[in-house]
Amino acid sequence: MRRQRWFLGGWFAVLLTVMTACSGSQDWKVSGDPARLEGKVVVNTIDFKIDDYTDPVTGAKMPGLKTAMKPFLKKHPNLQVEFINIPWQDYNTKQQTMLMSGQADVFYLPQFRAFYEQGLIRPIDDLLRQDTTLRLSSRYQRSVLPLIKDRTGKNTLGLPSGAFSRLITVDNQLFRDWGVEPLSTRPTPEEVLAKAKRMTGKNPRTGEQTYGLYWDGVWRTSTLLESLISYYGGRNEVVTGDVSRPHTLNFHFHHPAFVKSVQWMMAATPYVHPGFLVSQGQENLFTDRNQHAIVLENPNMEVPWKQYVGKKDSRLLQRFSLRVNFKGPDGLGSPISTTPWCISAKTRNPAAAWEVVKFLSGPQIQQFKYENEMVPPSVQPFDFQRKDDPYVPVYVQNAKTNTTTPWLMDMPYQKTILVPWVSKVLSQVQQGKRVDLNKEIDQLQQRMEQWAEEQGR
Amino acid sequence: MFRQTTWGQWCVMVLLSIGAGIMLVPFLWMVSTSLDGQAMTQVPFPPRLIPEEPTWKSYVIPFANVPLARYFLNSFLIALCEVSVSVLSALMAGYAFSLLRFRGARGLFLFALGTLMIPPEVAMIPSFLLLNEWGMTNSLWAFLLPSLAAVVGTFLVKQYMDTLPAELRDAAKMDGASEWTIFWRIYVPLSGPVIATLVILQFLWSWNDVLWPLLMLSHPDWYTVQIGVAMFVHDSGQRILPAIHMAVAVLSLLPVLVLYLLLQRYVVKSIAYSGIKQ
Repeated sequence: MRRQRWFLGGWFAVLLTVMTACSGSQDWKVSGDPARLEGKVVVNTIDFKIDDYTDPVTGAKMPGLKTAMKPFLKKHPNLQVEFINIPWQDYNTKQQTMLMSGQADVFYLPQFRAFYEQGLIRPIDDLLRQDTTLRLSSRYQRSVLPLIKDRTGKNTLGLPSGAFSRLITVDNQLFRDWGVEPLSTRPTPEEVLAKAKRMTGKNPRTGEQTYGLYWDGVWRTSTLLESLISYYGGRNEVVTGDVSRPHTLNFHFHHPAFVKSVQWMMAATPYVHPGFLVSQGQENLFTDRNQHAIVLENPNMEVPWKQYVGKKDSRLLQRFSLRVNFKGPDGLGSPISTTPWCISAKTRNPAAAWEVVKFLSGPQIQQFKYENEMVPPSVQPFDFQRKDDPYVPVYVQNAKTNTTTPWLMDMPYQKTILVPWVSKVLSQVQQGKRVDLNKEIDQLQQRMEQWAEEQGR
Repeated sequence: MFRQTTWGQWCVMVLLSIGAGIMLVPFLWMVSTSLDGQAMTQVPFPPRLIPEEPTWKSYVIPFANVPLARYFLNSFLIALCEVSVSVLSALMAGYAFSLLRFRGARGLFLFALGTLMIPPEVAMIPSFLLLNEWGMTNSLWAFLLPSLAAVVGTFLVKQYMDTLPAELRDAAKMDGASEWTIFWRIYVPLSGPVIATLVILQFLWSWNDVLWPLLMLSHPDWYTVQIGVAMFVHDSGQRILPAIHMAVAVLSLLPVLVLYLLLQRYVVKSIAYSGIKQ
């Protein structure tokens, strides 16, 4: 027994040594003249089309990222850009190992804050200061700028790619079937609820079951809560304190904005597909067989667009239209997200990496991503939109007044405490149980305070 | 001559057929979706087994867009290396633990089994860093070295060899055979069923593994077929191009299916041939 214990102890010691022996260098100094760039920059992308390809739906030959990079490489003939493209599956683990081992210089990095806190990516403020050709506020939409900062809001960690906001989608056909007047261009939660109520039941034209509302209860509850809290004016009041120091956070869940938001969700639950809390019910979303009149927090309109581009069928394009999301009394509201291009702390060629990042996040690549993959741009002005595109201009319009709620964005309790709590409450509503919201909020308040206390230990 | 089938046996056969049918439905649906032109933009719902717009397009496009043939070749190469090394290593270690008496054998065997309790994910990043430090990423070494520690295989071989009569070794020893000769010329030929089982299991693990190849390979020329499959799954789930995703999944399943059909009779062989006439 004693010998086995020695073996196990030794084994863990080896593991621990290997895990802790590789800390990245913290040398933030930049050298090199961007006008005479040379060497190699390795770029890590996730699920990008790197080489030219055949579009599966249209059969057309489409350009890949390498083709889009040609103007940049022409400008920098001594620079080599290599791509390491990885799938979304296990991307976080892969990027962790790539950052730790310095396998790439530039990263398309969804979890950039966590990696920055590990010292694996470098802030770019010094590069921004030295660069006279780039001003963030004139190149990008105002709403994405807070998204590329660290939790303190002091350090800039990368440059944005596309801007993904959440919108409200309307099925015009179902509105007509039910004889309900169209949703206004800036709908309020009250209007949405009233109209959803009228469109839940057997469709008078087809006899099929339809639902007034839908949102994905697993992935979109958090952003819906964010949009509603903004609308009811509690964005900066429900939770106060410094998100970069979680133990300083103060929670005020009895704030009217939070209570009204949850009450709205409770009132809406009977008009949503019964499987929404487990992401069910979206099998026919945005197709001919769609059964949801209003879809909240919708991130994309790929299916109608693919149908239109691929099969020249514009029926779905006419059937589904977009409305901007709920906004607060200050005109701002509903979240927006972006994945930034970041520079590895281990890069040996920061000046070249910076030029690559600037190009990848710039108007040329954003136009390329928009034209080929319908990615809404974060650059301004948006002067490259297609005339027949009814969707992305609305995303861009919406993004101008988007804002993020720091205490909801990226916080660990969002998925572990808050969303499960909302799901529990809504599940009780679904089961016809009486919900004592005051008591439930008390419990939430207690759990969150306990969480904050644990962060300070 | 057929034996008469009783009612009970008929009932069992009917139940088993129903069970087999239920098991096959997802597979058939996968094949059907891969052949359905409508599934280019979304999965048809409710699910159907007969495609409305049958087409082979989903099988052609992946080859045009990614070097799928190369991915298959890489997967085969990696699987072949992993299977060879791990089976050989398991046979030798299993033989040693089963038939050789040496100090600390039991402790060492328990220690080896104990490593099974450590989740692979815990050791993954340290293993990567170690192999990266040795310059072994993007090479076959990244797959050969970890395969040497084939603990499950060692355990299976040991248990199997425990069932073979020790007299075989004693007799060979008396005839002057070396340990190596006894192992290679007597025990390995008798281990056919367990070798077949190990080959199938190891091939399955190796062929279906995504995470380890993904961590170790950073050059697209080295990617395996499972990474290729993952490339067709989008962040937004599988709502885009489900037909192609299913087609690639069907293609990636074929080698495993063929291997299983070839070796299954060995796997179900439950009685070890002892080599001694009673």
